[in-house]
Amino acid sequence: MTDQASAPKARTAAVPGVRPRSWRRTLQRVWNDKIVLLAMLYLVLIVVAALASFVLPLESARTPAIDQRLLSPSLSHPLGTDGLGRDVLARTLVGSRISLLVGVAVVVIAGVFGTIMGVIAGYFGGMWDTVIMRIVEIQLAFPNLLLMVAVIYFFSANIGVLIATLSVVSWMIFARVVRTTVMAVRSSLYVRAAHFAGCSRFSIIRHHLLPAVAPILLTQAMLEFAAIILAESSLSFLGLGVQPPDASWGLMIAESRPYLEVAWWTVFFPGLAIVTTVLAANLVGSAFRVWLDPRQDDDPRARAEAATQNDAAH
Amino acid sequence: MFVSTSGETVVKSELGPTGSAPTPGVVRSRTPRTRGWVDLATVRWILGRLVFGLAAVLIVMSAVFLVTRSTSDPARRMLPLGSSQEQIDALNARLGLDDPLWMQYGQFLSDFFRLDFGRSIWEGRPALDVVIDRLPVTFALVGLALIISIVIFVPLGVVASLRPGSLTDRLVTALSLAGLSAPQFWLGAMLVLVFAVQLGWFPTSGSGSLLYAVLPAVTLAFTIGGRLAQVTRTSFLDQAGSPYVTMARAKGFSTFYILRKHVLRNALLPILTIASWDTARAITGNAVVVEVVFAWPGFGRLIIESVQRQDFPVIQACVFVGAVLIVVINTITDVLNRLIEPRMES
Repeated sequence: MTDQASAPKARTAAVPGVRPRSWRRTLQRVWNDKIVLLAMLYLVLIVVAALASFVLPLESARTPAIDQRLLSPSLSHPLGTDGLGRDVLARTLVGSRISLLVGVAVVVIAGVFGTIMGVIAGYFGGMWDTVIMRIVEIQLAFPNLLLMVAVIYFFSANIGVLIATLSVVSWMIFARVVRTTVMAVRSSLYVRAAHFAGCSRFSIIRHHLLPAVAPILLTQAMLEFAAIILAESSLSFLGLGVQPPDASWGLMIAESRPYLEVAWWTVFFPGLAIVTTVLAANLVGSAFRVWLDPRQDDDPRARAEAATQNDAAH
Repeated sequence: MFVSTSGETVVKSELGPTGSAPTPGVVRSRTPRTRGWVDLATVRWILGRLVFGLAAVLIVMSAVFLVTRSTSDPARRMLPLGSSQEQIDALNARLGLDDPLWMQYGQFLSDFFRLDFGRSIWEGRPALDVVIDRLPVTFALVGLALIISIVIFVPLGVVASLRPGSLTDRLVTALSLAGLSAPQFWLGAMLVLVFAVQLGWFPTSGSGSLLYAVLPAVTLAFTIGGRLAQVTRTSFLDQAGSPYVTMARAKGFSTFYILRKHVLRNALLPILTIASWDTARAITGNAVVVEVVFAWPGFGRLIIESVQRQDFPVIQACVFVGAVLIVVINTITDVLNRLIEPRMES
């Protein structure tokens, strides 16, 4: 990449601690850190697998076969079969669709809404800020799982309700990080310069605030994606999420739990799918967080340096 | 972020051992500790927190009220399947569900302030009593999980922070991240498979002696402890970069002495804060799942049982108790934080 390509981004670097490291350097570090690279490749693989499950012939995921119940892993059934004789591998693949769909949908809905709220709170400040942050604070005191149990119980569980409920309880995190960043960038020189040069508020938000927020938003989206997948699987496990005959990883474990002692593979493999996906998303998310914010760096000197830079800036 | 509005700054000598990262704009209380250590501003702030907590609980319960009343037919949901239309109408009339919404809300508020959530359909006792009876069992489970986390995971975090990037550090980080990434119901099932089914060391589920509590508590400790190990590591690393640690090293003190005498004191506050927040979250979140997996007769299992039994008053009381627990634990944490560390603002 040339200097020209990164020139518009260099403007935002005026606020240390907010956006001090470029995308290019981040990508370089992804390449250097093989574990994170692996995690990213794995996530891509999972998405490809979920998409492939639409075209692959996976009838064995749905049709029960009584004569093939609880077969242990073999060549014809690589991950064995479950209590109804359905292929565990095929069901895990089909289950990835709903788990990923819920994860992505909630992150997008909560992320967009949270970003809008965060920008309003951080940029306009005053009463807007007070009201929005109070709502955020109150919502953070919600017993989320209990509340979701009560709500889903009344609406009867389906994917739409699941996505809506999870979005309602997770937008606050986005609002918070966006607000903090926007407040830091708002008072910086280049934003004030843009203001005095006559840029409209919308234009400032569009061209200066959102680019500054993007990396932190991406990080948060990754971590939240991991959290949502876990939440969806827990709710499905409790019987309040995805309903049979659909397949989701959490539901598969709930259905197979009675066979745990005789057929470990029916519980182990769907769980492994959850752990690896969540772990990969968490790894990528926390790696991004460290790389974009040197205050989170492991090297104490880098952290101390970032801290002093930050103090000096204000 | 930390722009001082009043222009007052913290006097350097008042900073104590940390010294490195003052928070300008937050002025340390000028009153000497011997003359009343809680000043008026702190009292007002605590009162504000209490009012806020009450408001939060009220809003949670109002949300439940709105959701339940906005669905078409709550009475049908509460009655067993196959109930006749007359039975539904009778229940509607008895619960006042025919009244206009604002009247229902008024009734709901008055019940709320009298802590009256109705009677459990299943047990026939006041719903709140049913919920409160289950709490000690859950507290025992979460308490044990917390002890395991503090005894095992906090030291792991300290060890990891000593050599960032080393093999030990990577292993601890991987373990804590894996613990946080594994769904509790699966982790519990795997522990049962290995330690109860294969090795036969512990019972698979149920309650009774301390043996029954070990596997569920360990399962829960992976989440609480995973977070604690991460926070401990970050918190200790934060301190490791401070000038006072460099100074102590230059004086020739041993690592253990520096950790115990200097670093621990400064790193403890964030660790305790996260520990208590996560405990509150665990009681109303992961403990529910763990209790279902291990048939642990606590608060979390009660709410799932109540859903299956269509016992709405108990579900409502569970949400109430959960909200109160979170608010109380968070408020106590905030207040203690403020009293211990006056430099910190909320």
